[in-house]
Amino acid sequence: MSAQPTNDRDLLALVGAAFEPGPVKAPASLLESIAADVHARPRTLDPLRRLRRDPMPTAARPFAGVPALTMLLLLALALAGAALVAGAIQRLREPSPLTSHAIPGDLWVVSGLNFPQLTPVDTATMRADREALPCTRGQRYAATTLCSKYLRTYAWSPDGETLAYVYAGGGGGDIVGARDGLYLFREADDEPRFLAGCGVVNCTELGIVTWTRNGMAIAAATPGDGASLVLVDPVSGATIQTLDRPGAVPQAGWPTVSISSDGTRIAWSTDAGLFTGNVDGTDAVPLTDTLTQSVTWSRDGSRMAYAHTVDDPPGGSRGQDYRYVVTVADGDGSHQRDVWSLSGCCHGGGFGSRAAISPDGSRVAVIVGSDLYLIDVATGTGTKVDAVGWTLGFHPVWRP
Amino acid sequence: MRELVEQAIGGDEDAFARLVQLHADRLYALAYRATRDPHAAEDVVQAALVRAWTSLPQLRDPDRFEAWTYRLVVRAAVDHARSRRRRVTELALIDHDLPGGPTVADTADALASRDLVDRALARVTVEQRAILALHAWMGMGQREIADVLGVPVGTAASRLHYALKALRAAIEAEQRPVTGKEVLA
Repeated sequence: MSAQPTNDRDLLALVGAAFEPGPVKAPASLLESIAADVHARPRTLDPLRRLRRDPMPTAARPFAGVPALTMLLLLALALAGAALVAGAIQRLREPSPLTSHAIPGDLWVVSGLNFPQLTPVDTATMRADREALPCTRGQRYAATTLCSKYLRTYAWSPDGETLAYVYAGGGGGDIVGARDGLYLFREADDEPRFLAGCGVVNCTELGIVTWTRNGMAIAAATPGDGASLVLVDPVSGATIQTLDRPGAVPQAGWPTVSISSDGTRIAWSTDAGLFTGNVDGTDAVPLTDTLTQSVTWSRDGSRMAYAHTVDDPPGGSRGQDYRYVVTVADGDGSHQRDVWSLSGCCHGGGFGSRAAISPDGSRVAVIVGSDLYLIDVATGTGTKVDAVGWTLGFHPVWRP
Repeated sequence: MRELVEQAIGGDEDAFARLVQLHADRLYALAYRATRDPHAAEDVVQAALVRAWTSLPQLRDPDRFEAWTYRLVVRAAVDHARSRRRRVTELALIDHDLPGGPTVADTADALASRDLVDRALARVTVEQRAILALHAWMGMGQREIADVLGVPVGTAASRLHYALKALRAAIEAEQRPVTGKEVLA
């Protein structure tokens, strides 16, 4: 019988020798199996890639999670029923609403002079309902960050169920003890839920909040001087990806950064004008050469809108009168066309709001001064919405 | 290499397939020496590389890809052993017919010693075998092992020390007459 080596070096030499026999080459079938497995598995930690691979919002897939066999059975039953009922096939072809909201209103603005609050506007009837959210309970104004003049940027989720917004009182807000930061509010809930602080998201109104199209993340500008984006998990509040490539995105005088709803492009505003490019800031395309409000995109990302001001009359001296112009372009910034303008709007250098393009890309909502306008993209017709009242110059947002 | 890793991080499946081709042999060899079972080694490498694919965006430094995949293999081997502990134990006690054989340079004593160590290796844990393989077979120093395992150098040195200690104990056990109770344990 062999004796045990007395020192570690000899023992390790024997260990090495003992390991020497045995395969040193992976079977070809293993490589093939790994390749197939990799191909079948989507990445779970790259939200932007998932956005591109899975652009359809969860809410638009009512059968998400249903086994394929069950779905096929349901489909067969639906088709059989359609064959028996006249007109059923036509109804199946029509898009059905994603959800039905207890509070009607496809366009939302902040309105109210003394007690501003988010207000829904039904653009079909042009009716606004200032009692829609739990801001006024009886005669008492509710003390919640949702009902505050320090409400900043806000956006509805793709399913129209959850409102993300930023409250920023800067330590002296009107809600005692409220933390500044990003909140979520659902109609069914009494109170908003705090999600992330101002160390994560830019709490000024320039840090635009946008939901990604599949509802997986909320995009917002990050604090600081650089123009960069952060994606926040709406469930955990964790930062799931920061789109920050120093040098790729020019440093912005106004760090207004927005992301397209399909997650493929961003736009950012600088002293040199408005730009759009890839999510990492590459392939930048200039949209304007003056300080400009940032971009909004239609739901599918195929169309964008932005508003800017030009001298009025042309060639006039800056600081006098301006003309507020709404421009619509393709999703990548090409094929720009001015669809609506308002002369003498911004005397003294005041700004109108962002141009909020509707999810289907057919309409644009803007607030100029304290007036809300709805613009038909196809005809260029702008309609003033009188029902809203004082809007304080906040930005309108669409609810899917 | 770095470029391939960066492309794979960006979701390029072809780049990842190329990385698999470059590293699969070494990973499989390590997995085999940790598990002592060719089928288990395949399972381990597959699990590790699929995990690598899904977790690649977490890899901050593309230059650490190789060490990172070794770590994934060691973890996968440990997980595999936990899930199939009983079966692995039985295999380790009865399966001494490893592929390959003695070279002409082997002397009788060396062959006996190597066989003794080989049987003792079957008695230590998968993680200890992996550490011993990284050090004695792949030639990694304590710092490299620490890098692979994602632990401080001192911890790596400690684990290597205990792996050798366990191996010595296993050798002593191998040198004792084997009882029926031990085989059936």
